[in-house]
Amino acid sequence: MKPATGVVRTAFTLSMLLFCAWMLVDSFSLSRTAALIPLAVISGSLGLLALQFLLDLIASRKEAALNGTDQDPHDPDLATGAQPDRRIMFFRAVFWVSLLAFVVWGLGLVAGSALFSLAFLRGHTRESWAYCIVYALGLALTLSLLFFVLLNVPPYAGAVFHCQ
Amino acid sequence: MDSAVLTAAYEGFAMVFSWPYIVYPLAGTLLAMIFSASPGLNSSSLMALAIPLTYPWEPLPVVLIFGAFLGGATFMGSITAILFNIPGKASNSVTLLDGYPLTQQGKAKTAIGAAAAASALGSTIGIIMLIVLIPFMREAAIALGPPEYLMLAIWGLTTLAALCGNSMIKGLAAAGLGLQLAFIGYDPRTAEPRFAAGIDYLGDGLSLVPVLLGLFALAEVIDLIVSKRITLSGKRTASELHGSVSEGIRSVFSHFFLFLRSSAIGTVIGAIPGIGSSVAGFIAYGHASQTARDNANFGHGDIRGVIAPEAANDAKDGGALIPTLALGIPGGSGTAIFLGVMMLHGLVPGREMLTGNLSLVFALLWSLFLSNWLTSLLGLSLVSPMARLSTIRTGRILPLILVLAAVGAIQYRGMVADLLCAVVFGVLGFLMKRYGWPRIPLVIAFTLAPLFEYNLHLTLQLQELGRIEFLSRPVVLILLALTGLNLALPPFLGRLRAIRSVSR
Amino acid sequence: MGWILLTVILLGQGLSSGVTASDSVCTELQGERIRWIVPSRAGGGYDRYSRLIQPFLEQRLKANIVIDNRPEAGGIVGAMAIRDAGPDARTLGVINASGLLAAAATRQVQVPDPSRDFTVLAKVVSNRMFVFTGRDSGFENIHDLVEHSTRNPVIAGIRDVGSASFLALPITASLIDLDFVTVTGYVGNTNRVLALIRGEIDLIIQNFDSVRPYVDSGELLPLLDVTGTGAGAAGPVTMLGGPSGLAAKTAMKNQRPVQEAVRKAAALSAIVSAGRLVVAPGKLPQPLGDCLQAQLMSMLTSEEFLNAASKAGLTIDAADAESALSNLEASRESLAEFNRLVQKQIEQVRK
Repeated sequence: MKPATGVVRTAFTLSMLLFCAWMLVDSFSLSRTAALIPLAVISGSLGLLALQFLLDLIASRKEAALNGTDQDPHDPDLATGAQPDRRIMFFRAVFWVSLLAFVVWGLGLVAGSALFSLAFLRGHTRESWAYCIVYALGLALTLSLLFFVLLNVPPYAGAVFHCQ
Repeated sequence: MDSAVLTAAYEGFAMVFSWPYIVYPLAGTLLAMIFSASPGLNSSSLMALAIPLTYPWEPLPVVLIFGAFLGGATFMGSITAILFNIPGKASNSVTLLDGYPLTQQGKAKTAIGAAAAASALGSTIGIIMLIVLIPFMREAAIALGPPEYLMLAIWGLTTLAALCGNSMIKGLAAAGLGLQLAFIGYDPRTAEPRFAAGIDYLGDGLSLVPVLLGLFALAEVIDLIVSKRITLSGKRTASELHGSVSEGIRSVFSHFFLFLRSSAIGTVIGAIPGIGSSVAGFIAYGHASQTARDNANFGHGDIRGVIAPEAANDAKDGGALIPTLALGIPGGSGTAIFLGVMMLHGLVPGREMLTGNLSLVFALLWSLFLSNWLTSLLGLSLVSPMARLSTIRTGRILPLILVLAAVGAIQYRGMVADLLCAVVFGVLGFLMKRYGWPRIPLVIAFTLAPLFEYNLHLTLQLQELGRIEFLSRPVVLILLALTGLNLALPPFLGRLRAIRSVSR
Repeated sequence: MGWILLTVILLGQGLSSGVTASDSVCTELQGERIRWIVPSRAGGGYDRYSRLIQPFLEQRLKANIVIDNRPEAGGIVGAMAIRDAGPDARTLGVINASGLLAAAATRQVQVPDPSRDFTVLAKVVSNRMFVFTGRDSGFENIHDLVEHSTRNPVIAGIRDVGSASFLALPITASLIDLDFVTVTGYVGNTNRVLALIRGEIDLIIQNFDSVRPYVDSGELLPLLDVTGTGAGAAGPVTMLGGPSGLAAKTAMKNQRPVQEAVRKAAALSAIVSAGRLVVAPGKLPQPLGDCLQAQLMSMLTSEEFLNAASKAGLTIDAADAESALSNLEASRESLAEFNRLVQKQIEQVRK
């Protein structure tokens, strides 16, 4: 079963709260000079996040009591009836963005960008192979012209080619 | 004004607008435009590349072409910020906050028109302020110190309250998070690594560009995929797009007082050496939203959110030349290279240059002026084809946006880890947007944090040692008053309006 | 590249560096693209040196050198990028050896070791550390400053705990009996110079070449030559080291061992003058390293290069790899001697 929006919302606030708490703990290992300003700011943030967490919890409970479920009634997904689809799409989007980072890290800016655009257009947008290949080659050519010919600035070459 | 200054202004004008010297600012502007339109590259890279090529040149052509490099690079990066949420460089990052939402509403032309006009006019205001200050430039350059810088940061931070959206708690917590993220990295005094979790990449802290690319560009890409939006603007053909360039230009004149204030903010902040190029834009943006009667639309496509940062951004070039010309102290990385080039050609900034070589100083200013206007005019000619990009199917434009974001993230510092950082912030940005956490306070706080922290430390130390008296400095008092007004005036006016509407 | 075309169009002014190619080139690098890492921003001191070297070395190696600025963490990130690259000479760069030594002694993080993590190819210039004051400070010479400090500690502006000036300050002060307090957090040369001009602080201790423009324009006044050569300073400047230096005179006046003071001043000079080194990643194959060392030294001492450097206002004080390495070892030994003094200063800042 997928978690309801109210729970995810509260979990998101909690994750920020935990990040702040970690920073607070970490700042105790610093010298007085280095910790002075961060401590003041983190304490304030922690207070605000704790308050927001409490508000989120109360809201989730209220929503659950009203609807018999802990769905957020203001969730735009409910109106469109597209919630499960949106969740899948979110993970799909994160996959594509991460894939870009991975491919560019491995193959460099020019080759990585071309390969990624080919994969995205074919895998996500379902374009024809011909379109995907022309797009990818065009992108590679444009980036090569830009970096090697016009600007003479070396683009990131990629971990695989071990030129960085 | 001194007649010597007027004579020098005329001589400088004659130098620039004469054959063959006019070629230098024109060529410099074109090159600067090409460089600055590529995410991750900026005029500093161009200037650095040009240094060895200009070794054998005479001083005048060098001053003219480098003046054009300085001025020609500022506006172009705004176009990608407006169209794709991807800033050409850090200083254009503020423009995307309202520029991109305008594109989503099909008003890219209006946003670019306003950006171009505010940019060209803002640079002119910056140059005029610089000329006015020429007789007392040295005094102006050293008038501000850590207490004033600190107050500027505090003033900027107080504008956050107006940008918190529906939830003040979420807005302030996001701002706190922005400050905290800026604390990651070496402590500016003790050099202790803070909050780096043993990761080398975090040792020197997070950089603004990958954070912004993530929070806005990649978050938007995720949102576009999730929401299955058909095109960036929601329109399928160019004829469906609203707005026009002329509407954008007119909007600058209908908000002329805001434009003037933003230009003044840009000039003053430009004169402060070593603070990030985006600070001027963010402070101007915060100021615009706080002083607006109806600021609910900021961050959702308010044209004032484009005008204010663009004006400040270009006016700061004039400001940055104040310490450069008066003391030889560069205001930013561009002026640092420019300074090195001037010295290479035997031009020593300072008192002597401002008296003995004033016509050359004016030649530089005219070149700067010309390149700023030329960039805006040429940029405007690209508006229609560029705006059409917002009608291309998202599935087809997304790879291009993602690649541009990757180029911007990696080429900025040459670190591939910056792309990974952008991805992390992309997910964070999407979740913040989804669950109603405003991202703008986070970004503004992140940008202003170093200015705040460094100068708070310095001010405390200097006050303790008796070297400064914080509350006896006139500029500090003015900024304190402005900060007080910033905080007190909006609720007061809101209350007043509420009472009036009730009494009606 | 479009630039070449532009240069031709621009009134036919071609680049005329006047460099003659050396008879022997490092054949393996011919036609290759070499990444040259600079540990400062474009326009900074290291950047200006690198861009001066770039066209001359390109001609000698017949390679394409591309400058890559990596200024983060006071140059440590740039040094790490060179260290971590492959030992194939496709990545070279400049490092601030004294800065890295200082950072290793004072920071809490792992910092690349200038002699062990790199293949040293040549020294471009030694750092020449001076004590400066502002034009309107009222101090005419170092004696005024020391005399003033007997009544009130003088205020020194420095960057942070990891910098070479942070290291040099307490050592210098201990040798001339200067009572001082520090204001830390002035990031960047320009901020320190501005603070001095504004009169917020009394002194900075800084590499001469980094602030030379402000000395030339009269905004800064050099008071004490910490590294001892005195060359290039505006006017006669008191020297710290040597038998007639201020350290020796102060020791004599206070009936402390003079030889000890002279030795300590020399040790300090060795640390801070370790200099700007051209390096490749460690474990570079020896034939390639030898070839690069030879090409660099021949270039750095050529008349054409020295003329260009002089025109650019940059001092060149070239030394070969062997001499640079022995200097580094001397610096490392000297550093150990001052450890207690430096740690005490760190504690004061960190409290």
